[in-house]
Amino acid sequence: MEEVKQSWPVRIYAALLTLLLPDSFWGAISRDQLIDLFSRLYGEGRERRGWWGGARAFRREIASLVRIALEERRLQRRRFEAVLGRRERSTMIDSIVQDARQALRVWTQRPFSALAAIAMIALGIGASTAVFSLSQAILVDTVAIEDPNRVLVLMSADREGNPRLLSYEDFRDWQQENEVFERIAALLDQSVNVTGGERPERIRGLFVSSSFFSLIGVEPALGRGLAPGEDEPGGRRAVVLSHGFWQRRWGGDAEILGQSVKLNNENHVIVGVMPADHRPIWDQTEAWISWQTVPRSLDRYTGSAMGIARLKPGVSQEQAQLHMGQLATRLAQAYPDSVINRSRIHLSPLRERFLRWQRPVMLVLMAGAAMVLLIACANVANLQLTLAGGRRRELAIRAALGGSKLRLMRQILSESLMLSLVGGVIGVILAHWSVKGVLALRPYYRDFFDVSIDLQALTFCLAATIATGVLFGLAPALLASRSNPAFWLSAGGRGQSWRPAGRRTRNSLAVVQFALALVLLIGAGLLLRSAHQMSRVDTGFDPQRLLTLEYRLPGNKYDEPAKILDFHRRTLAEISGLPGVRGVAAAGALPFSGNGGSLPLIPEGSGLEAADAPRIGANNVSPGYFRLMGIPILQGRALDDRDRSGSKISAVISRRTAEAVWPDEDPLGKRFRMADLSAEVVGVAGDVHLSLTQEAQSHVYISMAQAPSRFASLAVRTSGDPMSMAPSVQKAIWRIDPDQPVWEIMPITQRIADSVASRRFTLSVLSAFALAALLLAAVGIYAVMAFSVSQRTREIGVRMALGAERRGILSWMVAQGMRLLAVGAVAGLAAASALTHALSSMLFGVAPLDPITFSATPLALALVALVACVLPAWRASRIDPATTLQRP
Amino acid sequence: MSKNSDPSRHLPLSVPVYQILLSLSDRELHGYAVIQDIRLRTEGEVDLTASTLYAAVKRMLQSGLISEVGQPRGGDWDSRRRSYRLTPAGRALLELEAGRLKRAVRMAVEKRILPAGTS
Repeated sequence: MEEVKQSWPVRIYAALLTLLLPDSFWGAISRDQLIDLFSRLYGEGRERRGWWGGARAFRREIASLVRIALEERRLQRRRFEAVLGRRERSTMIDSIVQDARQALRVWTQRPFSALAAIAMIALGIGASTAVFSLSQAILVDTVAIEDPNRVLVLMSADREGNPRLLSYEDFRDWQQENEVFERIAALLDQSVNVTGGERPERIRGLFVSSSFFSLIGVEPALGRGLAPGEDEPGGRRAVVLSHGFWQRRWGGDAEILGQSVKLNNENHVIVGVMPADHRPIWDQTEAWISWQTVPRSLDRYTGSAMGIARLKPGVSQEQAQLHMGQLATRLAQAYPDSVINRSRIHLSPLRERFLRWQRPVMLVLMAGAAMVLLIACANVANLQLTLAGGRRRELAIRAALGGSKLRLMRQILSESLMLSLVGGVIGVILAHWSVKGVLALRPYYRDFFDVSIDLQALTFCLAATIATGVLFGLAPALLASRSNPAFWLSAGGRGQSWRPAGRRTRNSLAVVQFALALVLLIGAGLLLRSAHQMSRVDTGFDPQRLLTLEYRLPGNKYDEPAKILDFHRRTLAEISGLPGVRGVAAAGALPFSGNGGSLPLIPEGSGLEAADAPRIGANNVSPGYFRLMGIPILQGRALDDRDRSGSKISAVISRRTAEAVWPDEDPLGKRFRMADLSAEVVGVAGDVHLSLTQEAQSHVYISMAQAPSRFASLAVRTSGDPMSMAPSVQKAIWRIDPDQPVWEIMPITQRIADSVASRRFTLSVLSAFALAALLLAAVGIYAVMAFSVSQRTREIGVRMALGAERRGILSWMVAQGMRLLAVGAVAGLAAASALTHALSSMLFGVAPLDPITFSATPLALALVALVACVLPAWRASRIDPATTLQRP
Repeated sequence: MSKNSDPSRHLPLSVPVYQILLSLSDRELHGYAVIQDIRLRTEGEVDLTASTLYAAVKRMLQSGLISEVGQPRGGDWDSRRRSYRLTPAGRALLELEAGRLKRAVRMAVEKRILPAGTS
């Protein structure tokens, strides 16, 4: 008994005693007496029926306490009035308190309905506010620059309209000659080596023209942006630092301006530091560097940057497109040899570019949240109808006793409002937790977006539920107050309150809920099946115990192929000698790294133009690459030491390449051209997936020795945990060049997981929604059935008195529920088949109309609904005809 | 009690008050025992909560229908478990109510709502 006394229900009860009962109550009775008795009754409930019994006893005692408290206070007031000899004029506050008290009384009479309504409102508001807040942050507030809607991304375009990088001279011409943009800036994101400190590091740099800062309209917090001239060849090399980079590398040194820093092995003058809260338009930019150091040619022939442009006031994107198109055509005529692929321009809103991959995810989540909100609203509506239906007699009595129509309406209104407010408060807490949960699930959002609960979204969701509650609460109240009280007071009124019209509304709400829940469940089911399919994808290589990392050699230090090759060779040798390393290989692009590009492959003698040739992924690898990665050689040989610089260029192609370029032919010995290389096929390797979500890509592998590049990725096969080898691998590289930064050090399994993180995130959130929808729909169906039973007690009693069997009653009630569900299932399936194609970009190995998902999900949902149906039906079958018929 | 000379002004009694009076009619009981006794006699049909019981007890004390048992019984006097007993006024009221109920049942029998022999 002692532990019961200390338990929280007893504490809550004790607190409520003090809170609710007036002081005048105490005297003859002490607080201790009540608490003692409560804890005995509560303990008794727990002993008899465990947790459930305790909860029942608790609910009963609390409800009764609230009633007694209300009565006591009324008595107290009456005594006051008797003493004062007059009725105090009721103030507005009084009547609000009165309304609230009345609402509280109604709730305690139907605690489960009230709790269910509050839970639904909270869930609906919580889920939708969280997702709307998230999408507000991601879809709307992403681009943290002045008036981002007027900023366009400006690119060249080839004949097919595919965007291509701009050349330096084209950019300069466009900058001077256009009449539609206030400003144009060039930018190129590239990783940069920072050296000269204790430890070399690699940061994300954004090479920009000097117009960049005035274009985005964000001023550095310290110093200035780039000055005109600092972006031209021969001009001073300058850099603006991000706040974080400045803090990390210089400890926030206030005297930073004018100091120099070595970027890609060249000194740059630090001229500014960006504000701490600036979110770069490019992921994680840590340094804005003057454009002339872009390691590409500053001519008219090489694509070296993207453009961004701010429209002049009053100019539309279409006008700009037209004007710039003419300009591009003029340049194409002036420089006919240089504009093969640059005769057109490509304009797109800046926001679009950054959101392309986020948008489908966010739209799906928003649709999911909207459905949860709708289901919650439907449930609230249903509940209000039910409550109002059950209270029709009460309302009629009050109307008969002279309660004004206005007063009754106000009563209903205040009850709805109170429900919504309590639900809303809990919903806000839920939303807060959900946003936190989402950020924990997907830290990416925390890094890039400023996510907090959005007031607009909250207001909207709150308004939606309140409106629903009020609307569906008020309508029956109006009907009741308009109709003849005498009718509802007669015994007939009881059976009649289950009017066909009200029933139809309630039934259709249940159908809508079921259909919406089905749509959500099917969506989640499709994603789940995709995840399962993805986990079964054979990547084509062995990802176990494989450590990967990347580096880029600075061009001014490694300016000859021989130096580059020497570095790669010595690095591979150094690492392969480490204890715990079973092998190492280098490649231009490792699977799941996001690196690598494709080039047109022109078979010799085919006479194909580059534009018509198939584009094949090109990768330069070290000789041991295939063995290390576990990629099988199906035909011919792997690349080896015979493939040296100076000798004939050999290529290994993937099976898909062979099938695409030389179908039904032996590819060995075939020759082809790719960019400026001419090569011969010496082997065919197995296909490799570059990502789980795409088909394996066709590939051409060429030996690094014959196509050296400054950028390389290493794959290190370890005998133990790959990450435990990371420090010694890093040190091995620094033994070759202490100034060489390395990055992206992680097991390849991590890269594989990261590549599906976005899908996994969508899946988890949508599953949560589907679960919420399932719960809400089950509650909704249960409520409809339970209400139906309670209203038809007499009818059921009569049927049973006339000889109907319990089983007959049970199946009759269940059949009624199932008819509703069948309608809901048909509607849900139709809606789902129309909507799931929106998911198709997120699906893998599963059709949007996957028959398994479309048949299993309705069955599962129907099972849950069946349980929600059977419970009240079972209760109906237990009805004792004698009691129901005796009841007045 | 002296000022409320006519106990019939309390009639008809509410269910809790009637049942509490019945429970205390033949012995002194504390709150929990009253609840248990009522539950037993009514086969669970009447099951009072803590607050209903004590709100009724308070009013009955004020009206002089019951009184607190003053002396500790045995050695373990516990202020949280005070016992109550019926006063003569309470007994008189109980008799009045029981009589009223008996008449009501008799009327139902005469009208053949209930079978004969019920009263």
